Amino acid sequence: MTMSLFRHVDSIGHRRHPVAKLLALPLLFVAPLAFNDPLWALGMLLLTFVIVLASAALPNVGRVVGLGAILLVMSTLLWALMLPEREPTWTLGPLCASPTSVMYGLAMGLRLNALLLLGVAYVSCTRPEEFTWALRRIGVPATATLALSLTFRLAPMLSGTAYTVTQAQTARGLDLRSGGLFTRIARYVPLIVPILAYAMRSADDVTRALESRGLGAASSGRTEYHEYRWDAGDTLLLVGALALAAGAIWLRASGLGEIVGRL
Amino acid sequence: MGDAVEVTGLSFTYRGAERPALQGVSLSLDAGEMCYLMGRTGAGKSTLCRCLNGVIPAMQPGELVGQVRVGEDVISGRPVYETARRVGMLFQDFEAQLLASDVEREVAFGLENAGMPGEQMRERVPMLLDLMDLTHVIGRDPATLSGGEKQRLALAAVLAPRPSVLVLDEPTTDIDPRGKEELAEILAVQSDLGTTLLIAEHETGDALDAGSLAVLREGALAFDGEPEQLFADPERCRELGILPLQMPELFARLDLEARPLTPDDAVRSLQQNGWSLGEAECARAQREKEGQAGDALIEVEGVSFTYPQARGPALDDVTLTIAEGEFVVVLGENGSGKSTLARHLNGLLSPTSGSVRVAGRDTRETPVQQMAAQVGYLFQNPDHQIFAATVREEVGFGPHNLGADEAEVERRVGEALEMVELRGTEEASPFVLTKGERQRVALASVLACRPRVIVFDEPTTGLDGIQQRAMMDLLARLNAEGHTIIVITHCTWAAAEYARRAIVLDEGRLVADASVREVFGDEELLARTGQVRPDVTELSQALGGRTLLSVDELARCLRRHEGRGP
Repeated sequence: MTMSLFRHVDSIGHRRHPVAKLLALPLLFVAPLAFNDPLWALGMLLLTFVIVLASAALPNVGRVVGLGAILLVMSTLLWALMLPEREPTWTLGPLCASPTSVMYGLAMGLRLNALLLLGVAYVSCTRPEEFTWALRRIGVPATATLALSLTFRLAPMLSGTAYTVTQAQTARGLDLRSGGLFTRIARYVPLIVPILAYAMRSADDVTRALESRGLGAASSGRTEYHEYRWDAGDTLLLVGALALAAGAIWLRASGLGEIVGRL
Repeated sequence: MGDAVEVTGLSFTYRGAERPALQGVSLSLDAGEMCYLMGRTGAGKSTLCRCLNGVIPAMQPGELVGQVRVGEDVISGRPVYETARRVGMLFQDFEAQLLASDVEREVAFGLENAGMPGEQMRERVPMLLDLMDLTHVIGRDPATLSGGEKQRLALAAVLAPRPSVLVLDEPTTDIDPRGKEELAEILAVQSDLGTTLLIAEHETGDALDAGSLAVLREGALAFDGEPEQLFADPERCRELGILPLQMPELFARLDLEARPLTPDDAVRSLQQNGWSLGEAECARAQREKEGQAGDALIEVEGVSFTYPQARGPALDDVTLTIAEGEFVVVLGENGSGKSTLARHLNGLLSPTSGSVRVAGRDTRETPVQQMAAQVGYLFQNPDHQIFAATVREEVGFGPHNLGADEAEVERRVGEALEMVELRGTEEASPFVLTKGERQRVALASVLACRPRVIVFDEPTTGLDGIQQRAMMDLLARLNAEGHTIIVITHCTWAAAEYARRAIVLDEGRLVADASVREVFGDEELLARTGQVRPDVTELSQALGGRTLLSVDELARCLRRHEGRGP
């Protein structure tokens, strides 16, 4: 089993230059964030599916469906109740909501789902090494990218350990499902202690392994096994993402896709 | 060509430690020499390995005296990344050494760090993957490989920069017998190519082909010479914490002067001196090994299981029954489904199809917590379960979960610690105990739940020869006291000597379920499933086509014909 969302397949997204993908990602975030009308937000969400398909990320969407549903429901509920300065239509004690606040909450849920899908598309077609390499190319210091590399390495290791530790303690009769809140919290101690101890040992082991394999050795700079070549598709991706972001801002500035005068 | 290694008066004390981990070690390795490093757990083997590639003192603080020289250069005190190109190191936990998202990048990582041009890397990486028989996994995520494949990949990555010295810290710990043979072949090739090799290891048989052997005891060099010199003396081996080879031990038991090390030499020596197997003695030994099994306790019926996102099933239509009081060993290569099957026996995993019933209860309908009273499971790594501040609290955790009152918990803790011979450690922190002791604490915590069945996942892994023997003796004692014992292991001598029944899995399918004697007597099955016979079994087969399973059994079955031999 692997925790990684990267898909070992070939797709338009996989073939893009790491720097092009890194720069395009925040630009692609702009369009879904621009509109707070749920119909427009839904349109942007559907548009992100094009990117999901181009990145061969559809199988990974299934892994985040639950999270997406939670985001949609919680966002609709919270914003419906918390959007300020709306004329309340429905009240229940201190709680109040209006059709506008419900629509805004729904749009926010759809927008968050669009961002989630873009993230899934990105990690489905970009290796951790490509991400950190692109960061270095745009000027992020090597120490910061090294820390990120370690995080990428340790996250699946810890996840695997958490799974084993949970099984080991459950096999000794630990019940994590019954009892009140505080009882349940206390029951997590037998999980947390071995996982933390392992995390500390693993961090040491991984650091030793990195240096033992010569990280930091090249005086004339680190080379790359895979060569990344910038091509017309990468330029097209960046120009397209820029145009989409600019177009979305212009439409919103023109008053389209808006039900409330706020982000 | 390799570099010579010169260790001179090396002592190292970890910061905060009371005694030194290494004490005045001096050791010379010629260029291209293959040296095995042995000794008890905690004797200082890993510390010496880390001194050789500079991790100590560069990355582990402490007090270092003496020096390590590789070729003409002093390594001690130099940055690890500088040493990395000349001294490659495969760590004990080789999975922690896998850092990349695909197999090719993994091998290339060290070369990228060394600044090698891309074209050269793209020539060298496929060559190494071919050498390690890993071309079929190109493009895969290292995390998805089998244990043996991961280990070969980690070694390929270490070999990529063509180090002149290769240090391997217990490289065969987690791999199956076939994987060990493959690794031995790879190391022999490296040695032939002139790489200097230092290999820390517990397996005595693996060290037999080495050019030299060094043994550490409490941080000091206790032996430095040819392996044959030490292995011919079983008593001395035991003193140094090394499990003796079976052939010299047999000859010592028979009061013979010769000390052959391999079954082939032993056969020649015994036949020349008029020894043969007694029919009546063999039949008696066979009867003694057959135990009386009770009623069916675990019924596995047509069980298949597929992990989420897996390419194929981990278990495929497995059906078997385990009776009360049995001692069963589960054999198979890495990734054959042994642990997956074992985790079905206490409900940690539920079958995708089929059913598992324990004492008549379907595991799918019984909470795992309740299964703890029926089936205990000792995980391979005790550190995956130890969490409490004291041994008493750790061992009492299970009974508490099962609802026992304080007096009952106290009684069970006492009994369990008595069984694992750890009485008196109740107030000690389990984290400061040795690995062998922590394993026994983990076992005590399972025993305190008073399960009828105990499943052991690789109970001898990471233990030295003496600890391995002690652990297996403990399992035999538990079995004699009525516990049903199920052991997953790659340790063939332990399987042959202690278990009565063997279950063999191959790619998730049950391919054999018979007495241990039948399984170790089936040469074709063993070859197909990557298993090897213990030396005593090889010898008994060569002497008279019998399958004998331990030194004790073989010694009792051998008879000398009068008037033959010197």
